[in-house]
Amino acid sequence: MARERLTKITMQAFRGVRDAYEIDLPQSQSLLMYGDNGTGKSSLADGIEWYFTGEIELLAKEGRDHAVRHLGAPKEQQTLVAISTNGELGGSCTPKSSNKLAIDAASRETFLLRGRTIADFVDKSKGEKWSALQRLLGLGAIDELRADLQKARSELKRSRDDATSKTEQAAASVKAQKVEPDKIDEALAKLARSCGFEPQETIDDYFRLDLKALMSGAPPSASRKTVNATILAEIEGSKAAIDAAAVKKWNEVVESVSAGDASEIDLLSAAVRWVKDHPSSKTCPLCDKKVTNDAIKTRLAEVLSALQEKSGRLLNAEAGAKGVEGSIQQIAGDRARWKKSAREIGLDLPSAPDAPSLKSAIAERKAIDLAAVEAYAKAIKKWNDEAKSALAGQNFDAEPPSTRNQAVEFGQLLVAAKQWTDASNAEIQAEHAYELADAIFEECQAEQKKYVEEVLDQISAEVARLFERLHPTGAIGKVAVETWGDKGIELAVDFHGTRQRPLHGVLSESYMNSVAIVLFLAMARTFNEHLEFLVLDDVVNSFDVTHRGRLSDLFIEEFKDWQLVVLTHDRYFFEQIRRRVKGWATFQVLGWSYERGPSLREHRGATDVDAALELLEAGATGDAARRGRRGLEHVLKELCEGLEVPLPYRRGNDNEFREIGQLMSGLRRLLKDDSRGKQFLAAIDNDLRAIEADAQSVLNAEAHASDQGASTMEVRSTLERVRAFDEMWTCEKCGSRCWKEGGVRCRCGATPFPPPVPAKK
Amino acid sequence: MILCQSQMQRRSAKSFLEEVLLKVPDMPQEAKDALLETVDDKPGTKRAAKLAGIIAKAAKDAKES
Repeated sequence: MARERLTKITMQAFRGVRDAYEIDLPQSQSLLMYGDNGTGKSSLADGIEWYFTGEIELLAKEGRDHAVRHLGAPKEQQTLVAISTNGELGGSCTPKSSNKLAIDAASRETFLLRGRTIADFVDKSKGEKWSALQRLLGLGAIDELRADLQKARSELKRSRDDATSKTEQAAASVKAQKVEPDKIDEALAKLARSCGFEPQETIDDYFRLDLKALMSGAPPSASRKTVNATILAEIEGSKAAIDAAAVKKWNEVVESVSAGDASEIDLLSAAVRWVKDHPSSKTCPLCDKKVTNDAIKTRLAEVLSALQEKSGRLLNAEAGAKGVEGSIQQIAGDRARWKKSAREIGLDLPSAPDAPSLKSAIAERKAIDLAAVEAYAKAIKKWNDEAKSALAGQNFDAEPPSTRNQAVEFGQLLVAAKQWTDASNAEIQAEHAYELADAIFEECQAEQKKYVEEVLDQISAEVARLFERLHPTGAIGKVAVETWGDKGIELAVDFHGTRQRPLHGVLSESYMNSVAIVLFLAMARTFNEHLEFLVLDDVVNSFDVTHRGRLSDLFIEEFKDWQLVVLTHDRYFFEQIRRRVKGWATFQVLGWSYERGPSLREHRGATDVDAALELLEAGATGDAARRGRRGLEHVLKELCEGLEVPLPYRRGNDNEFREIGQLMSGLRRLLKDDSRGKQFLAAIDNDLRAIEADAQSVLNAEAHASDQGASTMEVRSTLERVRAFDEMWTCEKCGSRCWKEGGVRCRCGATPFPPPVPAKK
Repeated sequence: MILCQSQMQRRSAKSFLEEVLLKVPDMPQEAKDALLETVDDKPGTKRAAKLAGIIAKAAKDAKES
């Protein structure tokens, strides 16, 4: 599947654009845009966000949706964003119609990072981070499948436990006839011979015999004795266990999950059901605001996911409590049956105690009366003792064995044997089904864990590598993304030898922002399947000059195969990128007005000198000189930074305001103190002096403000000198500065420090 | 040096379950296919009951064969 890039962005009556605004990127090249605050740069990011998500996050809150439209746009002009791509995702969107194909394609992609929300992901709780990752990975459907497999396993476990209980009861009935279950065949064969039958191969074969003739008439005393013994054996074999621990767990959970949590879980579950049942709804069911169904669904799923842990504990405790309720019903049912059977043989057993009902407490999520449950368990034990004593005290007259009695005995054993074998078979089958469900569920758990770990390992490796590029010499160690509990992920970092998570306790805001940026980049690179562009809107605000430089390097070098849309109000960052890239569309937003929206100027040249020469051609000599001066300052600042020129200490941004003369002196000092630089300095010193003199006169803004400004020709020759000085420090082969990566050579290694002095023309 | 630029393929619930079932040898292919069909069903108690039914049947068939 080919990922797509932007080839054209058109906006009309949208945000800061009153009429129309179009950015053409015919080669799907990257875009760099510089402009002051409030000049409409972010409208471009808003347009891309609106088209690919159906909303603008900043305006998603209640009462802000009208701000999508420019207030001064003429009535007949429709609010519209049109996007062209080099694939199939292009199209247009208006407030009434979105491009579903594009929104679906982008729904699990990472493509937009803004300065104002840069640390949003880092600031999320571990559960929210998990939800976000789950959305990116599409883990929701997998997790629902895992949950359903877990429920299926629980259901099959209950069936297995029921089958075991039935087998035990059937075994007790067999034992009541003084036969061990594994000796049934022998016992049946013996009785069959006594009755004059031939022993049969299987129990089913015995059932094909006609025993009716021998079984007619009232039950003999021997059968009453057997019934008595059967009841006694069943009571002795019954466990009558009530799981008080499950009741205690239920009570703990319902007391810890507040009513608010429980009602939120119910409300959100109901809301999720509502969304699924109303797939075409375009309005919020609570406030009637217009909103896409997908937007509601995504938000509900995120909030619901955060409550899932609580919900899971509640459901587990509920399953336990329901199990206790089932046990109590079973206990009561058994005692009623035994009392009825005993009455048929003339014995009146005591009435069973009243069973407590747990149903309403479970339904209403209230605590169960544990004392009542324990009292019932005691009362049952007492009933068992009394019933056993009554049954054991019965005397039955011994009768000589007769064919008729033996036939009855045979019939009763046959029925008990049949019940036992059927129950045993059902138990084996239920056990096998449970084992199979357990195996599938365990594999599912392991596979999900493995998948998440693989993903996190991959993101972590990428995050760590990119972070190290931004902070190569810091005390901050490896940054990683790790699982935290069953439903949580968190960022962790090695900090002075200890593992710290989350990062908030040890990292400054700018470091956190670094992590946020590299995490964004790592996620886009790891997961994007449909989009091959990244929109970076004012992302360097919290970075100092050094880190702005590293960040621009990182974008240019690591993401050269991507289309980047870089919007910035930072001149230095803009120049850093503009100087180093080829083929990008580069714009400067000159200003913004209510009537016209943003006004753009395309930068065709790569450097300030190119721009200055353009201005010179246009007759703006003073502007050209100012621009040339800025270009010279920029080259000198870059040299001083890259060569680590020793300059007098200045606090913070004061570094940015050094004079050309001071930068030049620093550069001279460095070259003079370097064995390789001394000769180089001697060769270029005249040029340096000429440039210094030009900076004082030709490029002096104040001189141009008076009548004594330099001529066009003087400015042109100065600009050529500045250009030659700039080019001298740039490798002809790779275009990088010659001090890069290792301190002495350019990136490709062809140009050493100091660079060769160009021959005089 | 760029160590990690590979893109990760997202997994659908179906391909995920296929992977899981490959590791469960004691199950007939027919039952595996039936389980895979449930991936498109609405999640919840009904689907869980359906899954339990398929697994129970698979266990029964395996015993009978």
